[in-house]
Amino acid sequence: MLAQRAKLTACLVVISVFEMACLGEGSVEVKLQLPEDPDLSPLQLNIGEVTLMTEMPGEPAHSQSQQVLDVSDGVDLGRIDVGDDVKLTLSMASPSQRLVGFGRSAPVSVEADSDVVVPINVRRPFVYMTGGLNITVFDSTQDQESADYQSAIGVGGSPVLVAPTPDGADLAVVSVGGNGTFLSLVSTSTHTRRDEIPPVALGPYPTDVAVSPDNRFLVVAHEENPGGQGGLSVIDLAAARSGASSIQFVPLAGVGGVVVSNERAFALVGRATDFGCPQDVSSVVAVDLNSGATGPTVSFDHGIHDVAVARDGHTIVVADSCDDSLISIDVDDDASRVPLASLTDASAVAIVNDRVWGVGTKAPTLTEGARLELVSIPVSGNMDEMTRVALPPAEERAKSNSFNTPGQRAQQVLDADALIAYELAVVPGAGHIALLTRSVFQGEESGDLGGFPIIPQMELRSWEYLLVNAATTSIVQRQRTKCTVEWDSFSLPWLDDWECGSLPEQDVVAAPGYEPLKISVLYGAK
Amino acid sequence: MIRARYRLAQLVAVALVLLGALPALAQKPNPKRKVAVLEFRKGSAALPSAAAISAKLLRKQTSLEVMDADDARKKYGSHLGRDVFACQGATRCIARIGRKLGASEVLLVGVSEFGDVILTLQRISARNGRVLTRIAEALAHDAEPTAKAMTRYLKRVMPKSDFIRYGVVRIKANVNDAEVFLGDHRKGVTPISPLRVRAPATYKIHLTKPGFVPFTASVDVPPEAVVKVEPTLVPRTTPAWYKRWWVAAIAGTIVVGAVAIGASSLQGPANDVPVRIPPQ
Repeated sequence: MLAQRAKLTACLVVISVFEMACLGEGSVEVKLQLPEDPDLSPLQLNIGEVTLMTEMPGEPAHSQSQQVLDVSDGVDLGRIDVGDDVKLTLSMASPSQRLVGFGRSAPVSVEADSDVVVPINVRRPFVYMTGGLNITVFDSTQDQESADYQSAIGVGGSPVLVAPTPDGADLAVVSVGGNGTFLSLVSTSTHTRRDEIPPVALGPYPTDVAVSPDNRFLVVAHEENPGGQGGLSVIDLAAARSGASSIQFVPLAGVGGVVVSNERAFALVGRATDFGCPQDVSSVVAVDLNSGATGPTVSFDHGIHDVAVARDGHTIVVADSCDDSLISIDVDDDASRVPLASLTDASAVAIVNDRVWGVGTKAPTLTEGARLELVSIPVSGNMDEMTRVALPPAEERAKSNSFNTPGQRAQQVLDADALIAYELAVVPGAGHIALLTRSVFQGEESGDLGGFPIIPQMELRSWEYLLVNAATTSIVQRQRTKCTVEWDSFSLPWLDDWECGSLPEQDVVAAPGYEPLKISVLYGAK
Repeated sequence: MIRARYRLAQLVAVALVLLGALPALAQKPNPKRKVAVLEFRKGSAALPSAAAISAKLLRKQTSLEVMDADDARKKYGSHLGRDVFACQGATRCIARIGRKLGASEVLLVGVSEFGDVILTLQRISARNGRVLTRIAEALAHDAEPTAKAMTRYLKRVMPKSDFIRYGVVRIKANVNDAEVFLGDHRKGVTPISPLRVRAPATYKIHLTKPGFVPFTASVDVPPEAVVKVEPTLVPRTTPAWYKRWWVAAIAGTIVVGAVAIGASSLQGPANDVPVRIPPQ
């Protein structure tokens, strides 16, 4: 009888467990928050595949892709693990596998028995460039042949710095105008300034802007100048979005660049900007974003061109053109400087997830001009996973205006003698890399006709924006924003009137043009 | 508590009869379609049993007609591996092999290395070579995915419906007009048509009729099987059912079965949930 009772009790347990199992299953609904302006929407493009990447703390990210005919019909993206702090990344690719849409969620909790709606701002991965009268917008989903591959955003004043917020909602734009330096927000949904938010007045001489990955802080770097103090303006982004301004200023001399983790900013003091190995002395100073306290400081006995910060918040990678390498440094342990990859004249660096992208310049040879070289390697430094590609040698053309007869022309093809990529931004997924370059092309005097040279000695300088396909190294967008040419008239050359020519694949901004200052990519990395 | 125990003891009236496979369920895609699981390696000897495990798990957890590498080689010939390799992952080429195998789909299990070991699962339509779904996972060199992890991957790449299986509960009571409840849901009155239910699962069956002692039973329904339940509702005027001589004799058998059900149910709630983009 006792045995029978025990068995009956076991049955009770069974019933209880059975009832638990009857509870409903949870689900995750990804709510696409698309641009209000349909011309900016990824859904205007041909989408062939949707990929969802899931990241959970302490676990490797994994992705799943779904072929689609029409995203508007809804897409079943499979299943995801339950857990806390789950980050969802959604990417949309064209049938040719080009990224046409991207979005990233805030961390969410996925539960086994609850329905969760996850809003994601889904945007085209636009490239934003400053330096002109407006923000120039390049649509990285389009090739240059497309008529609408570029557009412009007017914000008032001259925009000098731009950085998208990591949630994909806004562009933080620093402009300089008659009213001084100010910060404004531009909606990525409409590509118009958010007029409901008053501009935030800033100190002068801004050099860089960055937003913390958690969207809490917006940091503007300032150079020291007689008219203003150098340092960092640390701005509460939520307050700025609500129309209030809360700025904490951290004085630091000569800040030329800044990158930001969730807790700290890393100010690049004494930033090198010229070709090759500069004589300047640089340092990277960590600044606590909550308290404004500075330190530790990583010092260099030469100039550093660029710095990026890894997701762990304490590993920085610098582009060191004097050591011709990308160097990983734990800022909390200055002794640990680990060369990640050799890279001649390394000038810019970015970190995408856990991978470092760097750009440097290979010196010209007797037969070829200088060329850019891109290197990619995990932050961990695993050499087996390093990729290295060289772009075609840079060249420009100088065109003679000395001929008046139709059908005649003279062009001088010039190889680059000096070349630097001073800005690098990586499109989400790292399929494309955006660069700003500055080049110098020197041409020797040549020809002799009656004791006078036919072509004079000349120097051409150009500034270009490039969008490079990282897999094929082909340049899919190329715009020269400024070009100048000077020549030696004192030698009384036969051809004594020159201007910059253009290459067949080069889009050219009409003279006088402008020198681009900064680029950034929506949801991209710098 | 005593009363509850007595009710549970009513399980004596249940008889389980497995009647074999059910007809294919009318769904798209066909949950019983033939799927060939093929392997493609590119410069990697890692995960030597990824394809075999995938086939084994699909066999176990779905109703698909799964063709593993051995089955495929028998039908296609010994040059199967060479031909798959020659395709170099091109889906139209893989689809041709799938058609020769008579499969509706090919699950191409790819193993390559790019620093980490990259495991890819592609569901390819044999009809047109279209990639229906695909996933990629990066694994450490020495990490062989567990069956649980592989199941998770498979659930991402294969349609959810493939993992939904059904069984049938056929209830034949000794009286008409008794109300039938499956869990908390009223399903009708006896005589009642066979009930199609998700399987494998455990269900509480409850029958009630005025003037009769209610009947409650817990049944384990395996996938694609029919579980026959023959409840006997005893009029309240007759001697209490538990005083009958055969109660103790049969209770033991049923309770042992129920304990087994408990063990499977104690695995806890689902560790993953569906995710989708709703229509815009």
